[in-house]
Amino acid sequence: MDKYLTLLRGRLAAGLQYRTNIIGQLILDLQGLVSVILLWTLIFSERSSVAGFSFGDSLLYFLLVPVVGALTGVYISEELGYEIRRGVLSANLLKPINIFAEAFTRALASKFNSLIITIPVYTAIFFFFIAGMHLVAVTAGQVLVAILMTVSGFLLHFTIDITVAWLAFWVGDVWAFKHLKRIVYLVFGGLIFPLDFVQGGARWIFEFLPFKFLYYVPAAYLLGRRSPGEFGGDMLGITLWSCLFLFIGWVLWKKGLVTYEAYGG
Amino acid sequence: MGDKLMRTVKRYLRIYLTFLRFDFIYSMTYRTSFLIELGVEMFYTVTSIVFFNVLYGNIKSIGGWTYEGMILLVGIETVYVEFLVGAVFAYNTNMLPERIRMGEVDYALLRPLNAMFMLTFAQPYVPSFISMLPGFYLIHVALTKMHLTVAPIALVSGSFVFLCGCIIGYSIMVMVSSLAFRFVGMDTLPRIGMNTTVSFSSRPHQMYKGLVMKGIFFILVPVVFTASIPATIFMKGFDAGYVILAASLAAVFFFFAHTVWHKMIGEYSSASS
Repeated sequence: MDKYLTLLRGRLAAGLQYRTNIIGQLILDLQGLVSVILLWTLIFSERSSVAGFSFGDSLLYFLLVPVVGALTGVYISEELGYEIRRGVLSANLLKPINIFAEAFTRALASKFNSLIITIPVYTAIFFFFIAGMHLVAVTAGQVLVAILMTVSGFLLHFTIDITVAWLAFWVGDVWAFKHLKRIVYLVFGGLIFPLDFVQGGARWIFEFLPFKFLYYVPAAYLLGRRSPGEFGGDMLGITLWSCLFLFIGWVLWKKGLVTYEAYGG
Repeated sequence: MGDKLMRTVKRYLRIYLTFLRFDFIYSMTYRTSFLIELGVEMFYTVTSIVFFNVLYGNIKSIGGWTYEGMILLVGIETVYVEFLVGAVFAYNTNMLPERIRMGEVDYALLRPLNAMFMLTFAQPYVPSFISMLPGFYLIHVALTKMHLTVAPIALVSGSFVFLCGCIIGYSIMVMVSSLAFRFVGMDTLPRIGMNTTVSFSSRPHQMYKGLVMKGIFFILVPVVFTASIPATIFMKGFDAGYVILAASLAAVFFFFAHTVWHKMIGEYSSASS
């Protein structure tokens, strides 16, 4: 355990060297947030509710989504893919460490580093917008369930990201998969619209896929859009999906190592 | 004077076509990667369509924009975004911070060409150029569904405003990206420049209400001229006010982009070469 804590400390220190990029990423997220808020302000200037969402609900949802995303997001596949392509992975293979655990320290360190800057900013924005708005009262139970779903969402995101990373054993660049992942999250994760807006049979597809756990579900629990009775089913779902991705990742890792040529290392 | 300018423009166009031809040949060498990249670009357009389909499944209009009008807006926005990504962003401004850090800007400075042209246009990204086609298709579908025949003057003036929007978008990207010469290592700067225009380009300009908002999005960061105003001109006809404002802003923004770029490139120290 000590060696992984040492790795985590090292990664934390290294990550803080790139704090200007963390600030840059925050600016990018805020640009998107401003655009979304302005659009929904226009939409609600002509009506009082959309799919059961009031303006306050919508605003709260789109303010919560980036906060949840800042907590559940894992973006290490590009870095790991690059190391495989350039043969840098060889150095890690020689160390007495578990590669999955080492990758987890990267995800954790990058999370802590970004949260130091993003969470205070989001908290300030959050309270600025919701001050004076008459919102539904949030219970301690809802907060607890949302926290549990967010932590589980982070673990699920890690298993998805590491599965994408190991694809680098076969494809030259995982860049495209990173973008595909982003597109899937935009639509199926609830990043650009709450999944409550989806009507008919299509809703079943959105509910079946695992991506809703990364953004929509934690936010929905806080908004009271998901009842505590659904918590058990959601936890079971997120656990099964995490196990499935971990298994696929493990298979890809084992098969990938056989094809790995350590070229450039 | 005019003759010299025309010769220069022709020369740079010829050089750009050569860049485009070489990049196309390079892309065709790695066909699988090319197809994946093409798929990714197309999926981004699909995402916009899914978003508005879901939204219009619950409402009838946004700020007076019907579903068909919004598809026209998405079509124009797709052409705009893919053009800027393909011509300027992907392999050019996006790579600028790394090139500065690695001291690779020297190669561009040594060429007998304009450095701003070399560092913001020299490497086109072919999949994005091809991904402009779905945008044109969406424009066609929207106009057909609206049973709208665009008057020649509206077509010309709308296209002109769109071109001005592209110049404005390019200028914003150049100004923000060139800050990388001063803030070495801030890799997100080009994306901030790109997002400044892209985040707002697929939105109806009616969402900017009040003097402050209008001042920001019609004058300071005039992204309304990239898709929303051209779409409005196509639908409602020629508007001299918009045309004059777009042309003036394009000229001012390009001038500022040129000035800021030259000021910033003066900070380059060729550290790694």
